[in-house]
Amino acid sequence: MSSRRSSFRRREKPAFERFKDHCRHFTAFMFSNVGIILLVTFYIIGGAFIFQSIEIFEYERLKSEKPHRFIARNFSGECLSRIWELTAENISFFDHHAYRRRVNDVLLDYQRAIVKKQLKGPDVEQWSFSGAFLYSLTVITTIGYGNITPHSECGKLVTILYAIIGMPLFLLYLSNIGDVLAKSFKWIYSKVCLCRICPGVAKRRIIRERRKMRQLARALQMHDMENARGSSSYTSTSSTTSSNSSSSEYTRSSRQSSSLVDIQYTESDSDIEREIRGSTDEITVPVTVCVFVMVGYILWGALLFGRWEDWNYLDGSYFCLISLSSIGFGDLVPGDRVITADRDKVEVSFILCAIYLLLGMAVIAMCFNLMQEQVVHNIRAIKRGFKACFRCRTS
Amino acid sequence: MPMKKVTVKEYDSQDEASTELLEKLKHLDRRVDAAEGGGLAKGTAGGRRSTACWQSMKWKSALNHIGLLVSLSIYCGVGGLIFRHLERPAEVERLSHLKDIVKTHRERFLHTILNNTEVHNLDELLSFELAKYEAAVQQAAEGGLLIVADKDFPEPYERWSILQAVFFSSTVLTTIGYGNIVPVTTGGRVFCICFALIGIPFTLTVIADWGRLFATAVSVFGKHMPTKPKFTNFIGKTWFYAILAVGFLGVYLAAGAGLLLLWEDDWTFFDGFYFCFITMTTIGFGDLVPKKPNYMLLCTLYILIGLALTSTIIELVRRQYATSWAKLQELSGPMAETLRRLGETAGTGLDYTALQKVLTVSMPKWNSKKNEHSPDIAALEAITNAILKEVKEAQNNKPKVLQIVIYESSV
Repeated sequence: MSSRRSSFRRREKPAFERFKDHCRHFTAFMFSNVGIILLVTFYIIGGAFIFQSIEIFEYERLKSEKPHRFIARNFSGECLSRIWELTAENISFFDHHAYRRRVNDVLLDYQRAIVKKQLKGPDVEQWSFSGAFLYSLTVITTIGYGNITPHSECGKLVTILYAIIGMPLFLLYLSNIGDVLAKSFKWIYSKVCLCRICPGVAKRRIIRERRKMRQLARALQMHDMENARGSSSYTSTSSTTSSNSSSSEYTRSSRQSSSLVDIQYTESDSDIEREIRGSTDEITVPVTVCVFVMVGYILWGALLFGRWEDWNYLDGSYFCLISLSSIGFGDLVPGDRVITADRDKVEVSFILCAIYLLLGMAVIAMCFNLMQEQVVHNIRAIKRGFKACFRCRTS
Repeated sequence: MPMKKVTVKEYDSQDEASTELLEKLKHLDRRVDAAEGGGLAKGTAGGRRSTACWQSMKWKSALNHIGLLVSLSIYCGVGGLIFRHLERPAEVERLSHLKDIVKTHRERFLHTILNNTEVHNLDELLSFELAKYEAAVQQAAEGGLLIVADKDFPEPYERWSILQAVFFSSTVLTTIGYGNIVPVTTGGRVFCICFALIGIPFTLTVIADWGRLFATAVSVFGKHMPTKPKFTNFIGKTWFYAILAVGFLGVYLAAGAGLLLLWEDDWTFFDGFYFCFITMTTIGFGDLVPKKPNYMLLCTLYILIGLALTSTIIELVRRQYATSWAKLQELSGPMAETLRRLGETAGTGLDYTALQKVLTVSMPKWNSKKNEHSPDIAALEAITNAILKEVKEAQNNKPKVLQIVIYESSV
């Protein structure tokens, strides 16, 4: 037995087993917190490169196949030359109304050309790296501004595949980062708002302990009464038995609460750190704090975008809310107004907007987690109160 | 009955813990009897009463589901009307303003040509005025004013009609957000913020509720399915269900694409599929939007059903995961906690309630079986009471070293 065990332990693992172990460790790292962030970031960057190359390739292919569509017609010069011809014709025989009507027709043709050019659609210049990056981000976060969209069949197909793979990945990112942020925020909240030194909190704790002792004494009295009653009612009817069973349940719950009190006293004597950990686990952040955090983040975003994009506060707040709730109209998009001024500034603006959205969605997920815990806690407390009231009425 | 009476008489003078345990066992027996009585749907008063309660509960549940959907529809409709009320005056004013600008610039251009008396300066002057006119036309085109060469100004395309406004409200609530129609005024934007904050959780609640309903229907249908394909053993049940769900979603998207191919004239099948996919995933680019207003409400209904189906699939996966997690928790959770508590209180004596909890955790599993094992149940009751009595006596005697060995056997 011992020789077999030592030989088994000393034997080297085969290559397949070691490869499997390495794969397992890699997967564990990838689906941890840091790995998830890196995975999402590289997925978005890869998507940006793919979409950019697809659209530029499609544009070049169309240009080579249909060259006449892309020759920029000089509408302005053409219109001017026609007006000049009309003016030259009418120098000798000046007819006021006919001349006005002909010039009006020329102008109508001109504005029709302008409107058609306006409605034709965006250029390929929008598919810079930052534009493609923002597009990839809006796909996997389901925001979908729509200011940049693929026009080619291949681009649309790749968008569908990209979304199918990317959206579960982003949900996984939200789940993990939201959970981590929730724990961190809860810890900070317990440190800041529930420290031991605060006199109000200490007073509240004393009141709570006193109330608990009073409940314990009352439970003991009820236990004695039930014990005296129970010993003389075994030969009675079933209804009495049912009332005894309910009262015995109450006695059992009071005993459990007394045992919990004993355990709490023991633990409080032993270790302060354990108590802090336990109190952190028990703390629920109130809903007002969560709402305050969300509103604060939106207003901070409004301030930032106001500085970057020259929007006012209402437009900034509107954009932040529409983006973080993943509606994403696309009427206000970063980079619109600065598109002609400086290209590097547009790049930085897009990337900062992406970072804001990633962090913002994680913050929103954190707040929803905390609010959900608070709501569950409240429902449980209401249920306990209702049950206690029902039991009191029955007994 | 006589056995129970004898049992009660025998344990008349037992200690309180045994009494509590016995009463708990009686309570469980009574619960089992009530459940069995409820199961019978023939003739008895209890059966008749339970049938009536069941029907009442069913109607109440159905009314609850339909009430939620009707409430959401009313909320969406009222929101659409308010958006129209806020945005339409601004739209009309803006369009007339753009129209006036275009007319003014055209008249100015003609006036400049007619009143000009110098011939050598005509080129520069015309070029300057034409550039201004071009800027005015571009501004009008961006603002949504339609300009066609045949007519001077055609009938204005009504953006914020009632159907368009209701469709816009539905895209806000479902967080799709095409962006073809957007609020521009301050009041419209503020109302959009409030509308979204209140409406989006409400919509998610309704979609989750209908998803749960569909999941229940799928579970019931799955139970009544007589035969399963043979390759489920090869792939595995979980993967089979996943592939079935994805296939069903694909079929639903293809059906939607087919409908859109019938409705919209200039769309191909791939465009329809692309639109349905972008809509179901609530990305909502807005590059392809149905233009005919008559079909927008049908499109809204399609969107809601699609989102409910997606929620159904998520709910089914969650139920399976929750079932597995519940089994694992049931096996390891209370036992581990109780053993940890026993370990903590080892020095100061045995914790009585912890031991009782262990025994009561394992007790209902035996009681849930049928009456064939009633002698075994009675034997287990006797053994449990004997153990508790012995533990009580030992604890009263206060020995320094106490060892208890418990053998758990499945019956």
